[in-house]
Amino acid sequence: MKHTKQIETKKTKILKIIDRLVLIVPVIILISVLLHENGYKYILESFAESSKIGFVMIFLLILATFSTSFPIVAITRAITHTMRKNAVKATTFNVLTDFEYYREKLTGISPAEISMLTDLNIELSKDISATILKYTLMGIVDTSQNQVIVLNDNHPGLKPSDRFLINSFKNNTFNGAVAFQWRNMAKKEVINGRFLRNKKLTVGTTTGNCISCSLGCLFPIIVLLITYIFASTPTFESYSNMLDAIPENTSNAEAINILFNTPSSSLFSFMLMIIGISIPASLIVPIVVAIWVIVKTFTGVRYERTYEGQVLTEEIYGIKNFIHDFSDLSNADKNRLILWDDFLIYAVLLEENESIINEIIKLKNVNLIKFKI
Amino acid sequence: MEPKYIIIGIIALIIIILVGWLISTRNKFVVLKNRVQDQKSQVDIQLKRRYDLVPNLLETAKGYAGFEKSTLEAVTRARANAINAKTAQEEITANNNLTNALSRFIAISESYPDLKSSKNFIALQEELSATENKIALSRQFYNDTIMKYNNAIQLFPANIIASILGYKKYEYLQATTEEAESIRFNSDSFKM
Repeated sequence: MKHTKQIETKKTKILKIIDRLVLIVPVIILISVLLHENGYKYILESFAESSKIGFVMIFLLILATFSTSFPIVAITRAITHTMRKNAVKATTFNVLTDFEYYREKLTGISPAEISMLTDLNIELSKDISATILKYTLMGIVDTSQNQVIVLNDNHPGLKPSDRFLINSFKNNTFNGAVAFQWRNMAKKEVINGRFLRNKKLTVGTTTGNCISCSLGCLFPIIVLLITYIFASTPTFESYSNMLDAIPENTSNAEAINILFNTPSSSLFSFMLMIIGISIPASLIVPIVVAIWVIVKTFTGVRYERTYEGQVLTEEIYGIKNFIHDFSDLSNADKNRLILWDDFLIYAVLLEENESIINEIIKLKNVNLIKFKI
Repeated sequence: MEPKYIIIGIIALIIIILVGWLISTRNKFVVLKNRVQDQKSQVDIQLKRRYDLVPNLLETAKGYAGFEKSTLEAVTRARANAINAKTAQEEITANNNLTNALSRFIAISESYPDLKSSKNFIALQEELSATENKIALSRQFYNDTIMKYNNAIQLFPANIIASILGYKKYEYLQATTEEAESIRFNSDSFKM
């Protein structure tokens, strides 16, 4: 088995928190039920009456909590958990050398390449800020006067995406649409490079998705079929008559006692409860599966790292750790670029410094806040 | 429940929290101190690289008739002092002196056109310049790790533990004026 590591990004951290927060919903419902009109006292009284009734009451409470929170949890998790899984997959790489720190500069690697290798995506504010810093370092632009002044747009090494971005600064036409176009251009350049390639769809993944979809859609039919078989059994009729015979003014505790007085009636009662929950759940499951498939398709990992890409990703991981543990770059401003050299750009790219992103996106002709990017 | 048991329980809880905090604080100091020492070794590696480059550079200059002997001697002496430095302070001073001597040596070499155009000398000079940049960067990282460590041992209430356990603050490595002015970056590091 291959040893892998993951580069923790802001996105994966946020998704992890949301994903876990959703699981609190059943706990909140359970607590509110227990506190509502002294529900917990009712449970205690049931235990005082008989431990069997107490356990049945707890089981019913858990079942009710589960069925109430199921739609919220299932639908939200179909979104957040799938997004998180894909985000983790995108930031996970195969370990080749296994080191924690890397202290050298990544000579000849563009910010877009570093960003793409980190999480297989380009984030506009962060990556445009890092690219502007890179241009500053190369003497292509000057940002010292609260705006981006283009000094040299004829640098021999500029790629089409760089020329496009620099021209927008020069002509003062930079806006959200230009930023998106730049992202697409930069992405294409990286994918066509030596570090990343388009991911091929494997038979296993496609079959897995098809099976999940089919099962999701078949679930209501399966539930209805089981219910029909269950209701057709001869013993069910006698059980049904027993239910009808329970007087209306019977207390819950007494009713439970009657329902669970024999092993066969206990089994039927449990079956009835589970089917009662499965029928509304069978309506939710196809919705959940549909959401899961849509989210999986749209947030799925579309690229994979080549061998060279894996080597570089491990170095990026090492640099991120090094900057995090061995520097105070999170507090550095863009004027310290000359001192920190490429490492300040790495700090911005690897989300170790957010203040510079804010500094840059507020520059006169790089107003990204306006476009909420 | 009797009040004495509640009091004992509270005291036990406070002791557990205190011991936990003590252990985590002490471990944090150890990690930060190890990082300082680790980064110091990185600075030393770069300095060693510079010490190794200097004799080659001097040897090349010696081949050119009339090159100021006193300048060569000053660089040799400064290098020897830097290598033989015993304490941290001595090392800082000696390396600053070596930087100054090398700056003077490079400035004087400008007046020797043959030496200036020698391929070997140019290559060595470029390598020296790259090493100087690496030293500067390593030193910045070193100073940052020192800052994190010093902050950890000086901030209240961790400073109490630090003084009990004998953790002392580290001195920052200061750059010389010439060095600070000569920090240049490699424009080809982000070749596109």
